[in-house]
Amino acid sequence: MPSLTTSTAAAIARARENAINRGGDADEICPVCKSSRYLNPNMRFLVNPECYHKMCESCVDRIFSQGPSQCPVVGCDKILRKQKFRKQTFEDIQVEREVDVRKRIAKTFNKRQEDFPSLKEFNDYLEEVETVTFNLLNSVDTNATEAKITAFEQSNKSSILQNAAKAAQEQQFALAQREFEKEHHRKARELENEIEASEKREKAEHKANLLKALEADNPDAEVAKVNKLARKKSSMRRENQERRARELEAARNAPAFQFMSNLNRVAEEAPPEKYDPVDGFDETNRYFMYRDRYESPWLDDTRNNKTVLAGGYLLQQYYERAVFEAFSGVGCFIEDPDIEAEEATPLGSFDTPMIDSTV
Amino acid sequence: MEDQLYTTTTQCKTWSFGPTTLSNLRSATNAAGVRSIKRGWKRARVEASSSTNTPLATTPIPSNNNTPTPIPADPSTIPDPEPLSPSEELTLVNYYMLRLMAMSDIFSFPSSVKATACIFLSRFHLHHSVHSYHPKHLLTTILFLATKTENNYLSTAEFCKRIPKLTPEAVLKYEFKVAGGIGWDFEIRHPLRGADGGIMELLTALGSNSTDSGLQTLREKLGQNPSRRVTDAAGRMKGYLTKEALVSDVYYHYTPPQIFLGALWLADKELAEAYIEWRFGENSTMGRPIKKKKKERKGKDKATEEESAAEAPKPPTLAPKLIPAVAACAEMMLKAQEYEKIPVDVLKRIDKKLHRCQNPQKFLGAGSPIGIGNDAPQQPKKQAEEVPPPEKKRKTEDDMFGGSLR
Repeated sequence: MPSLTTSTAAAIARARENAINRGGDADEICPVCKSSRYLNPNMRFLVNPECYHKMCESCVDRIFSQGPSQCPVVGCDKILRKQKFRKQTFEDIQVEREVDVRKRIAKTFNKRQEDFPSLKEFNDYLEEVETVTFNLLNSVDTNATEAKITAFEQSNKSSILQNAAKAAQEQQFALAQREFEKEHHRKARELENEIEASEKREKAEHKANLLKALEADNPDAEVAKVNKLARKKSSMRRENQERRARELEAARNAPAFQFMSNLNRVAEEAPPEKYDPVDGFDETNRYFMYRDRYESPWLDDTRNNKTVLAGGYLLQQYYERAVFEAFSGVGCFIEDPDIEAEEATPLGSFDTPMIDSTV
Repeated sequence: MEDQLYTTTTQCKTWSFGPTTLSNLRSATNAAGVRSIKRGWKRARVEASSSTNTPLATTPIPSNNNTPTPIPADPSTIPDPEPLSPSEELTLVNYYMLRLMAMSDIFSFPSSVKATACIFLSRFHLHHSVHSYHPKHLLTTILFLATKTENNYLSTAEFCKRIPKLTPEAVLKYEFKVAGGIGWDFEIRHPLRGADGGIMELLTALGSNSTDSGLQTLREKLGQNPSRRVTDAAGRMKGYLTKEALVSDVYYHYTPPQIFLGALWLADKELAEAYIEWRFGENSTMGRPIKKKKKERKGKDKATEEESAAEAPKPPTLAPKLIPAVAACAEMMLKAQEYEKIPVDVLKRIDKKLHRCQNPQKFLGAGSPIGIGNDAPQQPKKQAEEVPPPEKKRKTEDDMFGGSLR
């Protein structure tokens, strides 16, 4: 449809997409060739991270096997390559795109906390990264953002490489450790199985011996002998098992892997300064102390007035409030120049003669 | 803690000024008001000249103006009105503050409502010139707002019943403006309750049989019957707190306890001085019961150690600084008494000036009134009863069943 202007084309594309989405069969019909899964049960949908338009595998083969070509979706003028097509991981295409963008950003911005002198700077850096990501995702000054990314890449080439290498190394270590853990678990399981089997065997043996002993002439003595033997065997076995378990444990904490257990541990920091929720507020009263009872001629009636007290009126509270107010601010002198200087700034903010608006 | 808490209040943060700051603020507000008057007159002049050029223009004068206006021959010959000076503005505001107190007394509101209303008015006009907002239009609004603030709520209907010719609309019309004008800082720290607490404490201390040396000297200074003397002084002090303290600027310059002490100073200078010496002087125990002190003396080392560990370190002696402040505060309050004695004709002259400023249409024959409240149709009538002799006003207000029904 070459005669259509881009805006109408985009509108049509949107309308079609909406129609497909509304029908709930977005997974069933290829938006490009309109062939449905009903006819082709093996149909797979692919997307290209260039524009994230969905199409079926056969369309991809048909259109892009000759080399790079324009996206067949109306209104999309991106040139796509077959090689870049892949299966969609997330149902929501926005999420798919975000994951891609984040992957890309993470490759460039791979600094770690230990690269920064303080937590605050690290947090600032993280925020910066997040801003860049957000800009890319929502196409807010894309050019400026891209320029920023390139500049960062240029200036931090070596550290990016270093950090990438470090990350790869860590991954390797983690992999090795996981393997080791697996092996360890396997061994432990084996040991357990062995123990169980031997126990069973011993029990059966013991039972057989017992029966044999009962058949003998002097059953009591024979039984005692068999029991003693069984006890000796089982204690020997237990000892053996314990030794092996100890060996296994020792192998696990072998020095070769010691550093790995430290790998994920957060470095111990000095404890942060104690947080003061009231910001240095002092609760003691400087000028007075509360008493239980004050002499006040006009309150004396109230003290014994049941109609007032029944309602929950606490004379003590009035005392406290009144005495507090008697001294609250007695030490503040408003004419002090520093206070005055502070207060001199917000002058005139109220000055709004509203003549024109009222008349 | 007490001072620290006070510094977090809006009264301390936004409504406390040194004297120069306050006067600067007032003159800035006055200048703004004068500017608005000048603008209004300029506009009126332009309108007047255009209307004289075309005599056939239909309505050059606002139709609601039912007093026949002598149309001058040439508006340009009439000089610009003389605006009010900052001190004149203050005089007017203070006069209306006294009116506000009288109005509050009609309702027999508690003194806290009265005090709050007065401070509202004062604060509002600190930032809004009377040129733009004539206080007479705001009185009822402010009083009503104060009743709500101080938990003494009356419905508007009830409120309007007590004052003749008052409608709920008139009360509520400027409420938003007033509330915004005082910066939404409704809570005002009055010295009233604090004064009550201070006197209570003093009486209790005098009544106790402690042997605090400071208290002993205080007792000696107070003569035969210390409690009686304190009670008498407290009564007089309350009078100062509910009048002079409000009309003067002490709320801007001093903290509530200082105002309370200032009022006490006015009521009984000797007592106030002795009291401050006892509470905040060199050897003050800061009101701690003497029992503790005795214990401290007995087990000297241990007790003192415990004491000092458990309590905040003693603040430096406050009295040398406090006494001059309190004295100045008292003097300022005493000066405020002059506002009551201002003769009526002075007030009338000020109001006439203001009237001329606000109503260019009456003198130029064109233009529109300036400021709020001047656009009401029955405006000339209001103007007439605006500054009546106080006795006449009282008569109408004291009418038992309110004004006549309309």
